[in-house]
Amino acid sequence: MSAALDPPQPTAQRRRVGAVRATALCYRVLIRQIFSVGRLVALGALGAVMVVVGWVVGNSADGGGSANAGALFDGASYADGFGLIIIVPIVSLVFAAASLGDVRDDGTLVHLWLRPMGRAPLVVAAAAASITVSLPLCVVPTALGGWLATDFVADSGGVALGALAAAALGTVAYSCLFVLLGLLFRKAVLWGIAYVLLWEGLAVGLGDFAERLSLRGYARTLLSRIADVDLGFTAYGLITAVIVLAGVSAVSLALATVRLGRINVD
Amino acid sequence: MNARPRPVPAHTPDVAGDEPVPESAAGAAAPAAPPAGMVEVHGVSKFFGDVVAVSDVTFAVRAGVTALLGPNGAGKSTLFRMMCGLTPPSRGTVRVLGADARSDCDVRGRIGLSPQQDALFDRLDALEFTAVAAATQGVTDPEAAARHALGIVELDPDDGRPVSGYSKGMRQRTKLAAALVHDPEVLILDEPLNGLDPVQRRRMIELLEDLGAQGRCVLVSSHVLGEVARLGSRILVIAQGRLVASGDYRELRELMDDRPHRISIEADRPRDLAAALVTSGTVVGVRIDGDVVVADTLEVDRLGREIAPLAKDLGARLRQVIPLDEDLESVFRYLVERR
Repeated sequence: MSAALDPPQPTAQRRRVGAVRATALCYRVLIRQIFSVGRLVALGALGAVMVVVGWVVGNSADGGGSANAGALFDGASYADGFGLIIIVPIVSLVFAAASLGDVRDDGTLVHLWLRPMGRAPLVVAAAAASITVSLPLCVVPTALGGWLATDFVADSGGVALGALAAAALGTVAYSCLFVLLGLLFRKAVLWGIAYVLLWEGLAVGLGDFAERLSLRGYARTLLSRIADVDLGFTAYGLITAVIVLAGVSAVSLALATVRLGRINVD
Repeated sequence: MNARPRPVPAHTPDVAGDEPVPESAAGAAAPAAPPAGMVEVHGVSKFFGDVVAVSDVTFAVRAGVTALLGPNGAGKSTLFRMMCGLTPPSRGTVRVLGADARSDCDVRGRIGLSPQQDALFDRLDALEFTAVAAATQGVTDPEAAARHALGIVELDPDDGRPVSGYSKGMRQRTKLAAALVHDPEVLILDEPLNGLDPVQRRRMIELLEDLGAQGRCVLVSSHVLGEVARLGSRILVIAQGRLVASGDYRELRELMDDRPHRISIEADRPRDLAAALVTSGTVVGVRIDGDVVVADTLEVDRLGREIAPLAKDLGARLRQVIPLDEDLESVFRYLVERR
C-alpha cells in the first residue's frame, strides 16, 4: 500500500453534493439494497392470487343488463377489499420500511449519512426507490384484479382506472409514511403490520370519522369517484382525496428528514 | 500497587502539540477554552441510559497519526462516532476542523471514516462501492478516484465480484479505500488492522504513517497494543470511558517512574553479576534464569552506566541488556489495571 495521494485540498476546492445529484446517487444505491428476489416472488405471488381470484369472481357473476351495476360494485369492492386493504399497504410497508430501516439496522447507513449533502435527498431517494419497486406490484394486481372481477361489463374500464389511480396514489402515500416508520422504529415491519391490520383494516370500520383518519379511506374515495361506484365513504371529493394523500406523503418525508438528522447512526 | 493519582487530569492532553493546554481546575463550573487542533474534544461525556460510555474526556489532535488505545468497550468507537457526528455528545463539545460534523454539511466532506462494523453495500463490487463513496463526497470523476484509492490499498478495481464475497481483510481495505477516496484532511479509522494478515498490516501501517506525514490528521483506534507500538504514533489511552493517559509510549512509560523497571541482562557469570548488582544498590531485586539476570531497578539510567564497569570488574562478559517492560502491554496494564 502506498500513499500516492496529493496533500489535502484547501476547503475552498471542496464541493457540496447538490440535492438532485445526491438524490440520484442515493436512489441508485437504495433500490439495489431493497430489491431482492425473495421479496419480489413473495409479494408478486400475493398479487397473482388477487388477479386469479378476481378472474374467478368475474366469471361467477350473473350476466345480463340488470347485473351491470352489481358487477361494477363487485369489481370496485374487490379492488378495495384486496388491493387497497392488503396489497398496497403490505407491499409498500415491506419495501419502504426497509429502504432506510434496513440500512440503519445493518450499519450501512453511515456510508450515505457522513457525506457533504443534505438529509432530504436521502429520504426522497428512499421513498422513490420504494415506490419504484412497489408501484408495479401494487397497481397491476389491484387494477387488473378489480377489472377482471367486473366480468368486463360496460363501464368496467372506470373501475380499472379508479383502482389504478387509487393504488398508485395509495402506494406513494403509504411508502412515504413507512419510510418515516423505518426511521422511528427498529422493528418497523412489525409496527407497520400492526398499523395496517388494526387501524387501516379494522378501526376504519368504526365509521366515517375513523375513516377520515386512514389513508385507505382517501384511496377508496379515489376509486369510488373515478369508477362512479358508491363504496360507502363519500365524505370528500376527488380533489380532496388527492390533496390529503399528497399532503400525508409530503409531511411524512419532512418528518423523516428531521428524524434522519437526529438519529444515532451506528 | 500504589495510590499514585491518575496521570491525565492535571492538564488537557494535546497529543500533537508541544505544549499542553492548561485546563480549568477539576470540578470547576466554567470550562476552559477548547484546545486548538484539527480534532477537538472538550469535556465530552456520552450516556446511554444509565451506562456511561464516555466520561468527561478532553483532548486535541493535530496532523499526524494518533492512536486511540483501549480495551473493547472502553469508549473508543463512541468517541469516533461523536467526532463524525453520528451521535451527539450528552455533554461537552466535539469539533472537527472547527465544526460540528452533525450539523455542518461541509465538514462532513473533509472527514474520511472507516467504521468498525463490517457493513458494506454487499451487492456492489469494490469499484462501485468506492465510486459511490467518491460521488457522494462530491468528487468530480468518481470512477477514476475510486480506481486510484483501490490501487492504494492494493485491491483490483476490475475484480467484479460483489463485496459480499470478499474476505475480511479485503472488506477492511475496501472500507479504507472508500474513506480515502475524496482525499480527506481528517481520517478516522476504527480498528483498521482487524482482519489483515501480517504483510497487509505492515503495509497498512506504512500507509497510515505516510498519510500522517502528508499533513492529514489520522486517528486510529485499536485494542491491540502491538499494533499501536508499531504505528510509532502518539497515543491516547482510553479505559472505562475515561482518558487515562496520553503521549508517546516512552512518555507513558515515564508515568510509571515509581515502578521498578525490569531489565534482562544476559552474561556468562550471572550469579556473580547478580550479587554485584545487589551490593552496588542499583537494583531492588534480582532473579536468575539460566544465563540471564532479570533485575528490577528504580534507577535505570544509573544501572545503564554501571553495568558495564561492574561486569568488567568481575571478568564477566555481557551478551545482551534489554528492557523487559517498555512494551505497551506493561504500560497499558499499569495505567488501566494498576498492576
